[in-house]
Amino acid sequence: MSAVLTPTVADRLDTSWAVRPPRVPLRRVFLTCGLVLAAEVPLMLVMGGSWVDAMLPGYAILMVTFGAVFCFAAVTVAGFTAGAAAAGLLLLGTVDLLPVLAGAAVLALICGVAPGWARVEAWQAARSVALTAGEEAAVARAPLPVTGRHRMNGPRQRISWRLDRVFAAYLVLAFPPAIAAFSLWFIGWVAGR
Amino acid sequence: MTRRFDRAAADADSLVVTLLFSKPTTAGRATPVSGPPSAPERRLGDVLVEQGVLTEAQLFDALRQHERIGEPLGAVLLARGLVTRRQLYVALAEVWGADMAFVDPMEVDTDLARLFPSAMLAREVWVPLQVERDDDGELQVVVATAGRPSAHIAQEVVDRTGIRRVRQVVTTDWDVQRALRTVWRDELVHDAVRSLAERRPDESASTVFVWQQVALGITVAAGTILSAALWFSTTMLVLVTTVNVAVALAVGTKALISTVGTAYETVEQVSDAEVEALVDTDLPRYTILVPVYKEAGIVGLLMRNLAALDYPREKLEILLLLEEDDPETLAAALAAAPPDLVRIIVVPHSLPKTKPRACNVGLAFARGEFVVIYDAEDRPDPDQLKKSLIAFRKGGDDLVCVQAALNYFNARENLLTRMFTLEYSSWFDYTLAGLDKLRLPIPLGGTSNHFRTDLLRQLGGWDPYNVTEDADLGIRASARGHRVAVVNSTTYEEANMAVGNWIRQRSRWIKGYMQTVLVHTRHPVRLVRTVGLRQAAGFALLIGGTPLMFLATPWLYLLFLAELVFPGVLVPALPEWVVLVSLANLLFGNGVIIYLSLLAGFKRRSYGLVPFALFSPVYWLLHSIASYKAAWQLLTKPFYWEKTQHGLSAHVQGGAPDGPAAETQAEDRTVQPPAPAGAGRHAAGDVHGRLAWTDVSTEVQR
Repeated sequence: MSAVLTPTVADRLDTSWAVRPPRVPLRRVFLTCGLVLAAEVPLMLVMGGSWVDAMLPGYAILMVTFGAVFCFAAVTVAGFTAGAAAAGLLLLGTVDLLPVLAGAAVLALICGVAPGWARVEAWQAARSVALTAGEEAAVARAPLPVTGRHRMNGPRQRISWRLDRVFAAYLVLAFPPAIAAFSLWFIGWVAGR
Repeated sequence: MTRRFDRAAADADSLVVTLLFSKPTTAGRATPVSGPPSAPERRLGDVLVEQGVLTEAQLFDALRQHERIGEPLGAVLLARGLVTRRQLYVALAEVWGADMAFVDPMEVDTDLARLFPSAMLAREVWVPLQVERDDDGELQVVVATAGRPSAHIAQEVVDRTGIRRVRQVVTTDWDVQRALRTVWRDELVHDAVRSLAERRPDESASTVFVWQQVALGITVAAGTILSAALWFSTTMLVLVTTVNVAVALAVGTKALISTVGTAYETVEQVSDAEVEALVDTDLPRYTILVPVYKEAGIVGLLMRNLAALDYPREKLEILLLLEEDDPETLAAALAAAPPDLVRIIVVPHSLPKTKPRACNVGLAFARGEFVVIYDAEDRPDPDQLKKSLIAFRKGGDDLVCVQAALNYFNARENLLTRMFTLEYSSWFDYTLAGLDKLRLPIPLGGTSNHFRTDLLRQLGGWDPYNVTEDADLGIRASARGHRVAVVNSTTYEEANMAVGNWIRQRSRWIKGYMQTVLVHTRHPVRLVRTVGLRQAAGFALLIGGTPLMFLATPWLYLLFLAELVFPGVLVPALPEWVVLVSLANLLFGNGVIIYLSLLAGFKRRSYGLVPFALFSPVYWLLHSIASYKAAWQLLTKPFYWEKTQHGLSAHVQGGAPDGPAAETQAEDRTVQPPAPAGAGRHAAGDVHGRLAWTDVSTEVQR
């Protein structure tokens, strides 16, 4: 394919530093957290704590662990779990929305600089990425190759701070507690009118 | 390192089709039991060099490639553009010691043709031409074959006509296919349209509603009206509860499946190392079907996109399926000067005029072990064919289809394309992955689905009456005990960027989902027995629940607005808890769809798109509009194919090439070159005249 690429596209081929996909033993993380919760919740209940007391540390553990996996190991689904745990904390009624959103903002800022994300972006782009309109047009204008092996390489990704990534990460982390809080308020408001 | 090449072996299987036939004949004349060849067969390479078509150096390179990839020499030469088809077949005719013929479909005896099924002829690439008398005054059938003249063909002719003498002439595979499309036109169309409906009517959407479904619909509608008249409040309660349950189940199912699908984030079904380990000689032939209709502007781009595929050209077959009433696209396809591996097939006009009908015609001509469908504007990842192949090898014999992911190259063009991209990211990355993981029936996407050709034929191909034939086929495959899987490869295509166009497309998809549900729930008990309770429930909730959810959503919004603007207005008719549950349901449903879009956008690193996930509720209201249009069309125009206009994006404008090369090849496709010396129309210098089959059939029967 390189024969038909313009220099602009061909220049973006430097992805050799990120040829290995990110590997995180998520199953192990889930298993460990599950075991900790399975021990913690009954223990708290046996010690006379309420369900809220028992669940509070559990949600906190999930939020911190998966928040860390999300930030440093660059796994989107961990952000989902962290966000869901934050929503759980909120639903227990012991934590306000604002501190949770502030915590999400901190995690999102870390995501902005975490090298793991740059790596996973480059890894993905090396395999499959859409060309820009200009590059598509360049490909369309290029002569049609009929023989040989063709490979499409992706663009090199920016490895520096990415504001768009920070904002997107913030939405991933903050949406579950935000929607949970809004739902509680709205249902209550409707019922109380 | 010096490599030795077995030229004799290379020439012996000069074209794929010749592998089918092993017994040579003498000078193209065959009796049912052929004798040994009278002279040693010449080698194709030598003949081409002798004819001045090929140089020694070119032949050497081609032989090296032949050995490297394991494809016949003729295929290598064609793929490299070193010879034209006609040059190749003229040389092959000499190698095989047969006459060369250029077949004019007008000269095929149509009565004789009726004795031979088109599917067999398409598969074996030969056609019967006419009956004539030879020098001895005996009847003989003239057959044109694109493979080596063989005893098999001769035997087939004898069995079907009763005439013992068969003269086999050589022609190009394109001539055979043109004759098939012309002379066997009605049969091809009939097979493409009616095959499934006749073989397995229960699996065809040609009947929209069976009587049980009509009876059930009428009963429910009449019962609802009657009970509303008698017990309004209770009826409203039941209706609102039903709507809520339907939405909750559909959203809940989608959320559950997608949550399971998130596990695929760190799983690669096929790794790069596995792709690298593939050896070219082990790669099978692959057929690419590209149905195109009224899309003249993007044919050139299609050629470029497919040219980027990392697969030996010699093992690729691209069938461009054009419609008979679309001369503009045909002209554009010719002007694009596609390479020799591209075959343009003009699909005969018939109704219903749908994409699956065109695909069925293409399937009849497909010679690949695997077949894949791409849309005209698609740009698949270069390694997609190889990854799919590995997925098939790892997936076992019951794996009939591998679905690649879709993404959009014009995602940032406007709000609609952004929403479309987010929706598809969620669908392919989470929902399909979850269905795969849970082993639930997978509704295929319209493009980039790879099939085992033989299993696809066994399934009956696509249902031309179903306007989401892909989703239906995925479910049908599951119902017949086959599996569909997903593969980690992406095809980029054009996201719909105009609201009207989008609603047309989406109404077709939703109508197709409705058709699919109606077809596969005709025998619910049988469905459960065949696929299992979990799979049947998954199918009903995902495929049936999706249109139901879209239809129900506006009513939940109405409840929401009524309660917001006029607090308590609904309470006289509905209990308060039902109102609250409805509001919670609406919030939960919207929360789920927003969050899934948000996660999927993030997972694909399309950070710029992620904030637009917050617009998902508005986007889903568009679905509701499309779903009501779909429901109306299901009743009024069930088989009508709402055409999606492609090529609107700035990304795909101006892709058609021009220049002398294009003009030259276009001319080559449309103008018949003069016949070489010794080759002519059946080269029939020694026969005493053509006879009509109707005239000789009684003589044959005696």
